[in-house]
Amino acid sequence: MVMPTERRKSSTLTVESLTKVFGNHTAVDEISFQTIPGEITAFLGPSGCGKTTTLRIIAGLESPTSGSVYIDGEQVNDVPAHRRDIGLVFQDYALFPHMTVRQNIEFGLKIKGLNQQEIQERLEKSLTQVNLAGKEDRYPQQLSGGEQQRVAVARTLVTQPRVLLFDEPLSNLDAKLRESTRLELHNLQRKLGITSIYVTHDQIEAFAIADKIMLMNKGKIDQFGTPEEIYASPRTAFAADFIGTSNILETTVRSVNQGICTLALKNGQMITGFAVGKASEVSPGDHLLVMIRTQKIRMTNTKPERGQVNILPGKCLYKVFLGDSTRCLLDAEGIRLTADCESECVTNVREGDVYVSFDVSAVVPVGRG
Amino acid sequence: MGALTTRRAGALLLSPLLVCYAVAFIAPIVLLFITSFVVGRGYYQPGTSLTTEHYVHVFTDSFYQKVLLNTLAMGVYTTCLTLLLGYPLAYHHARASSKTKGLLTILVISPMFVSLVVRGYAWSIMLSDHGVVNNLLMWFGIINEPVRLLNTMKAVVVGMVNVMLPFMVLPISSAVESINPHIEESAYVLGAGKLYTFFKVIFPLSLPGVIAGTVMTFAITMSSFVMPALLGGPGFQVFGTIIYNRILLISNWPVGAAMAFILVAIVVLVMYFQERLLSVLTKRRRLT
Ligand SMILES: Nc1ncnc2c1ncn2[C@@H]1O[C@H](COP(=O)(O)OP(=O)(O)O)[C@@H](O)[C@H]1O
Ligand SMILES: [Mg+2]
Repeated sequence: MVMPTERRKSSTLTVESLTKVFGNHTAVDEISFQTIPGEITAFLGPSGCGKTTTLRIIAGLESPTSGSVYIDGEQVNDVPAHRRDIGLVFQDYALFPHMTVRQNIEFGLKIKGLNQQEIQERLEKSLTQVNLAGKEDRYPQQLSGGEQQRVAVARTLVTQPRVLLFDEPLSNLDAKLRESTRLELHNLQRKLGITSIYVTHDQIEAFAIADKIMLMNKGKIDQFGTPEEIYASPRTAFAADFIGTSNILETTVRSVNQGICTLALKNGQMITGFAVGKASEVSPGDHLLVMIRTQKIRMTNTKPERGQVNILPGKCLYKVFLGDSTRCLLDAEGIRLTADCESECVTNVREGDVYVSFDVSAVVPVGRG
Repeated sequence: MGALTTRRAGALLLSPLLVCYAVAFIAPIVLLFITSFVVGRGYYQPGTSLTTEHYVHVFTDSFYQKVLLNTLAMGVYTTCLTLLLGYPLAYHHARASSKTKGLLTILVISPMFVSLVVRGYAWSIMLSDHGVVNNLLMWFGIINEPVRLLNTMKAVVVGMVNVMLPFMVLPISSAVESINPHIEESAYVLGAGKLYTFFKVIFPLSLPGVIAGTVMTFAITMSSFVMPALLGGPGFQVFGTIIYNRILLISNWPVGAAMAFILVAIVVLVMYFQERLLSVLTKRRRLT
């Protein structure tokens, strides 16, 4: 075997119908996906949806109840964690407290049986990579949270794993540091081209760092796709609700005509949307859940002239000034809507009677109610 | 001012208790200490002259030297064996699910509910020439005829390990429990096998518990009396049994007292080194 030196071919991670049952609780339910070599895939979902469990199964720290994990096409179910050639960065870093930064980083290299010179070279390179040069003789407890996090990353990266796994690696950092560290991580991953999985419950973090997002809910994959796809066309009410802020409305289909559906809201008002996605196969009388992003809703005192559709009379219950945007709570004849309007546009809109409007394209069907 | 008066009042309130302590605990020890310097065989009375000859005697007489060696050997063997048997138990105890853990805790401490004397006699039956242990060993073909266990160090060490196991297991278990399981898992993911992880990560991180357990085991074993008396008999004598013999049976108070204080000195010395070792560990390795 040729020793990998600078960079090697990125690996493919494949997971097939992975299931993990704890007692009578199914933590991971028939998960299947494949990563593209060199990409970052984010596992995104609320706390308790099975992200960490899936990650631990991939790392070999937990055995699946059923299903398989493949790395570069080779099934690794029976390969123990220490032979999988995977890197894992824990949320709490889990540095070896009785070892210096240097010893922590050298740990994986010594096991690989590299010679002293190569260990030294890789150590120095990784210290500069994560900006820790000069701190190699400190113990973890003598470092700040951000520095500890970088040691955890360096310790994993030096071993040049085939797949890198991150379990909420930034959640113990304060907000400012989180953003800069995220950028550094992203750059480092891009440069090294290591196929990575990034677990987070934070939608913004997932969008910023990931090429693909695997949205999870209750142990199942809810939607898998690029951040853009998932944001623009969530395929379930859960996805619509979890990603961004949105209004989910129950409607009844009145008519479908030339790619346009007319939908009745619960209060009898009609709205119009494109008959795409979940709305492409509906017929009059069907129930349909639609999503309208809060940013897509406009609010005016006078009736808007342009566009004859999707104008609802209503009341503005109250406005909350948030800086660039103002959040407005609206009541459109019994239907509660939240709107995030540009502050400039609504400063002159008084609370009280208003018109609520949105484009036809803002109505996104997300489920069959 | 206020704080000072409160403290004074506190001391005043405590003083009856302090007097009790002084009379009940400190006075006998001081008296015994003085007795160890008394000339002859009696205990201290005003006007008797003092000497260090009993200490010199214990250290130079070949009989006492043998007893000292016996005691040290018993302490070292018991401590090593208890550590070897206790560590795996402690590790599993620390990492067990809460249900198994309760069960293990009861198993570990249950011997303490049975009187030492009862356990001593039980072992003396088991370890006798035709006892369970000899019969089992012969049945498995490991030995051809009974080996002498009773009245040797072997029997005493077996009994002491039984006594000391909880004192070893509990501190190690709590040390292992305080190690973040992710640290162990990190080692695996970085490529370390179970054994490597144990010796490079888990064992070093559990050292505070190991040191506490071994020092406690060593100290208690060195000054033990019941097990050596019941299982060692005349064939294997240690400080505990000889002190008892000298003071209570042949009324040689000063030698018994000198031996008692030599024992105390050894234990204090060991504890001092434990303290040093722990503070070096916590400083260097920052295990706090
Ligand atoms: N070792 C375990 N034993 C029992 N239940 C577990 C265990 N690990 C995780 N779970 C359960 O599995 C579910 C998924 O957990 P986890 O994968 O940690 O979620 P996430 O990382 O998405 O927050 C949770 O309901 C959790 O309580
Ligand atoms: Mg988690």
